[in-house]
Amino acid sequence: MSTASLADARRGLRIHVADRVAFALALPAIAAAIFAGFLSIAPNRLADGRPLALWQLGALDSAIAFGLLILLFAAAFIRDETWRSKLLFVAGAGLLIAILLTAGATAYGHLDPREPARRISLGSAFWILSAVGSLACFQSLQRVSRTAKILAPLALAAAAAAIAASGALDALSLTREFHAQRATFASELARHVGLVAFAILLACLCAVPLTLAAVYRENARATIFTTLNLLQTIPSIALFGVLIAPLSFLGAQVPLANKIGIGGIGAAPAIIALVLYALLPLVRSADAGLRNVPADVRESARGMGMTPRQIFWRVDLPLALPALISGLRVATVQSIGLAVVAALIGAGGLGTFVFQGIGEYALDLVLVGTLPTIALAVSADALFQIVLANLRCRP
Amino acid sequence: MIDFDAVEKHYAGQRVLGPLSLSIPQGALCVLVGPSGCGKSTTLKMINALIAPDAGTIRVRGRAVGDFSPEELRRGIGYVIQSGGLFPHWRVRDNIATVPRLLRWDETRIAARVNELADIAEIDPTLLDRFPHQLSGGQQQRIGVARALAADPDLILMDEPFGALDPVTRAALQQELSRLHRDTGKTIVLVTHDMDEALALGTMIVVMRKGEIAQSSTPADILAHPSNDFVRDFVGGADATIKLLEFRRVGDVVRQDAETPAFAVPENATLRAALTKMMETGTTILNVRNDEGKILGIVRIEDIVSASKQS
Amino acid sequence: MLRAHKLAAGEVESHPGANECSQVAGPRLTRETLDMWTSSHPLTRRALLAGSAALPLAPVRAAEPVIVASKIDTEGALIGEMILALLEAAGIPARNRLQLGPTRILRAAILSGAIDLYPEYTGNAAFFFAMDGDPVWKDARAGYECARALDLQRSDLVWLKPAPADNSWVLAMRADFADAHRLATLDDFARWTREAGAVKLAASAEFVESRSGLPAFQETYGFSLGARQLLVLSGGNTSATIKAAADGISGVNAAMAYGTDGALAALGLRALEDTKHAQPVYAPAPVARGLIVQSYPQMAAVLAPAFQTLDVQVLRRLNEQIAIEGREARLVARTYLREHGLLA
Repeated sequence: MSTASLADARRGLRIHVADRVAFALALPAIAAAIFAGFLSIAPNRLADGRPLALWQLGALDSAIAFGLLILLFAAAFIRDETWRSKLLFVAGAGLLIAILLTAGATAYGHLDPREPARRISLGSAFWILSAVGSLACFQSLQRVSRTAKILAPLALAAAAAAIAASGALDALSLTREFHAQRATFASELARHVGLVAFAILLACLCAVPLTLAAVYRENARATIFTTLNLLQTIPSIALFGVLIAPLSFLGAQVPLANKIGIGGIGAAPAIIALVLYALLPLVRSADAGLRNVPADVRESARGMGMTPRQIFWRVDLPLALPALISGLRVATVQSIGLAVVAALIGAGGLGTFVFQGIGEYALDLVLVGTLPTIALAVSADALFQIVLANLRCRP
Repeated sequence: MIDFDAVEKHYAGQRVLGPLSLSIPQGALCVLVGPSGCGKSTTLKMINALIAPDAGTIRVRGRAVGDFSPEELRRGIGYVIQSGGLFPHWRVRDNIATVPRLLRWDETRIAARVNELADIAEIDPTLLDRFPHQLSGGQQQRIGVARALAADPDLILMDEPFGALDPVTRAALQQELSRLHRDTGKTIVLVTHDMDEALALGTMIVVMRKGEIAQSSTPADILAHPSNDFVRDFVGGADATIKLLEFRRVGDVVRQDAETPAFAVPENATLRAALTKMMETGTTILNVRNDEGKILGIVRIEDIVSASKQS
Repeated sequence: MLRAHKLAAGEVESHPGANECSQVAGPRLTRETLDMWTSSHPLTRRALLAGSAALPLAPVRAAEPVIVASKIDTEGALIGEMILALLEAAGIPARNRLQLGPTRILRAAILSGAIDLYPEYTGNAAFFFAMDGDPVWKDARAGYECARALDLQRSDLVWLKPAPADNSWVLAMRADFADAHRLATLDDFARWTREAGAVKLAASAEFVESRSGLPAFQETYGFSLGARQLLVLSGGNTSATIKAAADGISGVNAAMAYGTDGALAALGLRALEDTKHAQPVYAPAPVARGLIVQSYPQMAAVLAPAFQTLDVQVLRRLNEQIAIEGREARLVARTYLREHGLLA
């Protein structure tokens, strides 16, 4: 064969991966589906479970799941971007819905009235596939309109919620644990959100003087940032613990403090710790935002006769607003996660379920605490991203 | 209008400007020109109190600059900088309305003024609702000038306003500035490092060097009688003669003759334009006509050459 | 089941003699109590002193609901739900703040008035009053009386009638293993260990270090476990230790557990008998703020009958229903009370 046709042959054989992300997602998903446990069946809440892989399920369920995985894999090779995105979305969303329904149905199938203590938990394959499905959906929504970017995930979340509400997932251990906690779940969730909201509010108030000092007084800046950086390195449990003693003192000495709930335990030390941790992201981004206002804009404002205060409110602040919101976003998401530790010092919140679950070695109970925390964090993040996008598209 | 009296500026113990004494009359278009670091921007910024002098006084409209509150002073003086300094988060119309808003004009008056300025500065009205980053550099600078004119100040300061533009836009804006100056009679103080721009725009040119004034006079005078070698070199050395021709008009050297040249030149054209026309047409003699087209006389190349030698 | 808490080694001294309880010494003992609670920082010592003096300033909640709390564990949930059900049946308004935190947090909460009532263990009073090692705690009745007297006098807290159960630490082994080596009591265990039997005990750091934990067993029964024979976990989660022994993780074949743990039988473990009473008695009893008992004097009568019925077997069975079978604590508690006609 001549060299020309050899080169042609090689070129024809070379397979071109159009979407590396989809490819990178599909491979571990398929591996997980084959080797990892999709469900785990345990004789009781404490004992270890026997794993059940995806291919060990009913024929129809396996076929659908594997079919969707193959679809996902195939999507990686489609060159046309629109078709690829559509296929990717269908595969990802389909996978999410399919594994939910399959898990629920199979769990029902494995219930045994002779063994009421039997627990059916979601295995690592389930979690890997749901992660892959979500990421595939996210990837497919990269180049769509803004409304689609918001509506599509909402629609998926609504579908998942509908499936859960319909009772299809009631046989799973996770649902049973949630049911056992339903009396206090709403109040703990509210308490968690309240802790974070109050802490962020206080942190914003504290951040104002700190930012102004950092931006407009050079000698204060180094001290402020060194202190905040140092604070950030203190492990959260240690900080929560350290605050108990001085606040007990305060609560004991000042009757008013006790009346409004400041004692050594409960919300007060939790909120103070959360505020301290939130300060660094807030002050750092506000400082960066205010310092990055273009010098010529400020000079022209000054030259046109704006007082320093007018320059701050009409020029600096509006131009620094995206940075401020960005810092707020980081601080909020961080606080939602940190507030889980608050349960250890009697402040309540979603951490209650986490520590209860750890204590009783009931990992599904831990999930009753962690999954809502993750959902809260993701929602807050998305909300801030929407706000930021609207801010940026105005000019 | 503006008086500098033995003004000095120190930096890190060194005197970088002064002692500077200068008088800028009302209605002048005074250009501060010189190489980088000569102190021209510093001088400009002392007029609207952006920089405070370390010695001496500056008087604007007869009152010492220190007597005003800085904001009050600045709101009465238009200010244009090289990069425009437009507020990126405000639309064009809001940018233009900055000083009127600071002066608390009512909104109808502001809206009317914005439209008026769009006319004066030749800004396309559809651009008024756009944001600065959506416009070209030339359009932005035009808006910068409009913004400086918004509150109708009688003094405008410009710090290298056209430095960042391409030559075509720059030439167009220079012409417009000249026209504006002629039409409104405002006092304009402009800083530039480009001598040709200074010669084209200025009625009064202040050549500065190392914090001191090298020469302060009319463009023609500087071209014809540079006070030292630095000024002569800075003005363009050998080109000075040609540049001087910009400042004389054909009408000054027209005379009667029996000859009938083939081409004509307007009487208010500069001698340089006449020379250029001669070179283009390959002739050495041109008719001079007035605005109505009537022939007033002729101009010869010898007249142009002798005119350039005068004073 | 976390009913003990960390002690800094060497910080507390023992005060032998059962007459401590009747003495009710003043400030000296209180200061030592506080030492154990916080660091020895003088400021906090004085602070908590002032705090106990300031207690009368804490609001009296006559018409307000009784705030019922519990520790973050299964038994806390069970007993806490029972208390809630009983109060509800008796028409006393109550608020659910169960699963609030570890022992130290609950103790601070009730002292400061943030909560009104929670189930505590009599043996824990030894730590509250810096009297661990004192033999009074090894007797159920005497220990209860001592705790009751001390708390009433020092902190205005009322210990109501306890349950006849002992939730002290036990060592548990796999039933089949114990049968094979004929190990029924801790004496057998000690003998077998001394004869170089292969043992690996999964336990919490607290149990291993606390004077009334493993050291007490070792002293009483004459055996000693080396570092290689211990698998030390950081938290006091007996579920984890029991599971480790049941599954033989890392070679573990013995586990630290609590007397009323529900997981023992379900996972095939058996507790070795503490024939020589190395452990103090930890009987669960409701502890309430004095003001609350004053506002609701019927509280003792409301709770006592139910607590009377809770012995080790009952608690084990109910704990198992919650922790192993995964039934809801609230339902388990109420079903039990209803079945025994304890709900009005």
